[in-house]
Amino acid sequence: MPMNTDTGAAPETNYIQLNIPAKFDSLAIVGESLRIIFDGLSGLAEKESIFYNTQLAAYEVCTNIIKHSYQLDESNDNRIWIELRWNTVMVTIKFEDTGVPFKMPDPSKIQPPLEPDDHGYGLFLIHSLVDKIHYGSDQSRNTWLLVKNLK
Amino acid sequence: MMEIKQRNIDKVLIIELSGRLDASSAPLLSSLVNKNLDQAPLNMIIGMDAVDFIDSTGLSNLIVQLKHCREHNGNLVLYGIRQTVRIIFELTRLDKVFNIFLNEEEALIGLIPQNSTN
Repeated sequence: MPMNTDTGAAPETNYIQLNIPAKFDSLAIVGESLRIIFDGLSGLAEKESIFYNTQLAAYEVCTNIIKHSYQLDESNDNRIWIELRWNTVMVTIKFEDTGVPFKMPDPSKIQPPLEPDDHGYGLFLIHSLVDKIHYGSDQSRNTWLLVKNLK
Repeated sequence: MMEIKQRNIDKVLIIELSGRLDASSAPLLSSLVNKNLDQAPLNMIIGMDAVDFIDSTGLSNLIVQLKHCREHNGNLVLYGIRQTVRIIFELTRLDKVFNIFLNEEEALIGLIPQNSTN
C-alpha cells in the first residue's frame, strides 16, 4: 500500500493506492484503509458517522463494479484500482476497472425501491452518502470518483 | 467478517449476528435460513446489536429472509440495531418495512400478535 504526500499545496493532501481483486472478500481492505485514514484525522466532528458513510459508499461502488462491470466473475485477473486522497477538507476516492461500462441512470431518478426488494439500494446509497459523484468510461477503463466533504 | 449464532425458543428461530453483514458475509445468513425453510410457520428474530456495518447486499438479504418467513406463514423481526446502521435503514425506508425492537425480549413479544393471526 504505497503512501505519499503531495507537497507545495495547501491543505496538504495524502494519498494511497490499492490494487485489489474484484472479489467481495477484498472489500474489507477498502474498509480498513479508510479506517486508518479516518483514525488519523483529528478534530473532525461526527467522525464515526462520516467514516461509516464514506466506507459504505466505497463498498457500494466496489460491489457495483464486481456485479455489473465484471459480472460476478471473481477471477484474480479482474482488478479494481483505487486511489484514496485526503486532507483536512475532503476525502476523494477514485475507482477504476476494465469491465463492462455501467449504464448510470439519471441521478434524479435514483430512489430506493417503493416496495421492499432484494436489489436496488446500492446506487441510491452511494448518491445519498457522499457529496459528489462522477462516473465516466473510455475505451480502456471505467472510472468512479467519490468526494466526501469533511467540513 | 460476520459471526452467526442460532437457537430456538418456542419454535421461533433466533439468529444473533455480529460483525459485518455485507456482500461477503450475507450468503452465510442465507445458508442458515435455507436449512430452516421446512418450518411452518417460519418465525424468525434476528439480533443486530453486534452488527457494526451493513451494506445494500446485507439489506437485500434481510428482505429475502422476510419474504421467506411470510411465504411460510410467519414473520421476521429485528432487534438491537445500532445508530449508524439504523440510519441506513431509515435512509432506505426499510425501517418502515421491518418491525424493529430494542431487545430480544421485546422482539419475542412483538412476534406474538403475528403468531396469533396464523
